Amino acid sequence: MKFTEANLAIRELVVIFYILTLVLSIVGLFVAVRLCKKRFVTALSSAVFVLSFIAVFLTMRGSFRYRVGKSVFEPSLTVINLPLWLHISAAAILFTLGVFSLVYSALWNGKNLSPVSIKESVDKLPAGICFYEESGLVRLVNDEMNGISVAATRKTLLNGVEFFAKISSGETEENCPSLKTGGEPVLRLPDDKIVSFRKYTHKINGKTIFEIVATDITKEYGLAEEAERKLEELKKINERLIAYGENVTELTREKEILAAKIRIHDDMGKILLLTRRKLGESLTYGEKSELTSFWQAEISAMKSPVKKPRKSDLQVIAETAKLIGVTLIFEGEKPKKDDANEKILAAALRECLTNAVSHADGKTLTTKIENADGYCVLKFTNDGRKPDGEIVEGGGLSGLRTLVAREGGEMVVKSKPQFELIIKLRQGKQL
Amino acid sequence: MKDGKYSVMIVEDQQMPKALFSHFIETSDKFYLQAAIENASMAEIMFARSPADLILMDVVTENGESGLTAAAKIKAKYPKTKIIIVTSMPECSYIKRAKEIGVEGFWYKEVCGEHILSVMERVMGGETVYPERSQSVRMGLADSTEFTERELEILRLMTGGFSNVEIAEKLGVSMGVIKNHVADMLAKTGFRSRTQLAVRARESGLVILDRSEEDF
Repeated sequence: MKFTEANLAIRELVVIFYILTLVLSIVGLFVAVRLCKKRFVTALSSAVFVLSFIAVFLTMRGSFRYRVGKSVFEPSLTVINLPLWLHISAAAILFTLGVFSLVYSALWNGKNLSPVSIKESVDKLPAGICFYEESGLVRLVNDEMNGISVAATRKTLLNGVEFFAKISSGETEENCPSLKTGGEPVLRLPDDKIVSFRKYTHKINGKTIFEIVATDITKEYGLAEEAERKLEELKKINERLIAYGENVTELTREKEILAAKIRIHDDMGKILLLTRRKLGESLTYGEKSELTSFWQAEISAMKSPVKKPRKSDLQVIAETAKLIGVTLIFEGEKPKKDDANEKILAAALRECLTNAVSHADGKTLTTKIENADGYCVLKFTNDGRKPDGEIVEGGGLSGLRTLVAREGGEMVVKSKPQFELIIKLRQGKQL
Repeated sequence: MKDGKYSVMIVEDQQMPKALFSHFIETSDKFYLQAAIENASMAEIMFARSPADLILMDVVTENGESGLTAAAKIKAKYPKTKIIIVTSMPECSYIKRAKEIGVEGFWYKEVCGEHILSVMERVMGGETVYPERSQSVRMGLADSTEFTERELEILRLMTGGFSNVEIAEKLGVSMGVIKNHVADMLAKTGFRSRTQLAVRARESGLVILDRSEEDF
């Protein structure tokens, strides 16, 4: 029996099945493309869609035109003249395939990851995350990162390159200030949350994909700020301790002087008592001498000046040179007081004076100081014996060389035609 | 030696002890005063011009110059010269450093029962005269002899204002080790804070940081 010869109700039933199959195949195709992403399911759903569409179109239109006696499109005529059992079988098979592909896609989605499930899961992350291509096109961004983008730039995250450039350079909204710019920027969000950003690079299927991760570091930042505050306080305490250390030497001296004075006072008391007793007796020469010696010692100690004004290193060296009969001659302007170069000048003078006395038996030590082009050049010579050969640097000269090098200077020791020490330093370095 | 007397050089910046030492030497029949200077950095120069048989060397002299450093230099160049270190500071490392340098005598100004002249005579007689142990000072609830050498090293750097990190770097240990030692010292002394510990240590003279090794 042909399709056209069958009962109207049966024909309508077959067409309904074709329509149902068409609808199912549309849904199945959507599910296959969005969720399942398996090629054969997509192909099956596509085939079912196409066939059911053709079946619906040809049978419905053909049957209608045939019934009203109008001319029928040739393919439609062919299809509606096919045996009824063929139509019923085709409808059943297509319907079954449509149901199969839909159910298969749904089951597959339940057991496997899909793009949607990945999106769902990243949206649940507490950290912000975003993946984008070299062009800036965003491939995946979660709600957290989008929220940060809106707060920082007043725009949703549509271009990863632009977004990262803005947060790295600190070009964010006023209520979302940048706390740190650069490769790992840090922002303070309007809700006072502190967020740190890190960028990673991945190579996926030959393509470069960038990832930005935004982590909440509010607690750590707070602790770091507190640690910074405490460090500042400790620095101040340390400075006070150093100042105290510099003063305490003086205080200790004062204590020692006081202790000595107390001792002298006690000794004086004893000597007075002893002298009073002895004056009542006749003393031997030895006893008189001993008593006199005690008095001399105590008076000598009492008369000695307690405190002297502090002398500079150069003054000390000048006084010592005078004591040992060596004349110091300076040509040029000396470095300023407490300048690092003044300290080096004193150390070098000390060394040259020692050598002049120990080896050269010199009576005059000449120091030339030249200041030019940002440098200070010191030259030391003496009028003593010339060195026999090349000077071998001992502990003193080696120590001086280390000192000069530490201050970024240069030192040269000449043995011919006479001993000469040359030190070149940068000007104006404060201690 | 001159007229059977040993020559003595005094390196002492405090006037009273200098005057006393000078008086003792001048009234002695075994010694005479060759020179008296106040700054240890000049000791080598003075000695080069006028060598002496014996030097009485204070540890901390004018402008903070170290007598121990000067003693080491003189001993290196003139090993036969005898040196007696004199100090009133209980700084515990002084005796150890003096022994390392090879000085023949060590005398505490305030504490030693023996007279300085006696020490000088014994040293010139060939003896090595050192006190049995360092002077001890009270540090809160503890005596300074209760501190280990490492603790004293750390305490010395603390008085210089160095942080735990800097101290750990200088001593080549971890910061945890420094923190433990500081905690031990606080427990021993009963002091409330690191600062209190450092101040007391500096005040008592138990530890003195030799800045000459760091600065000039």
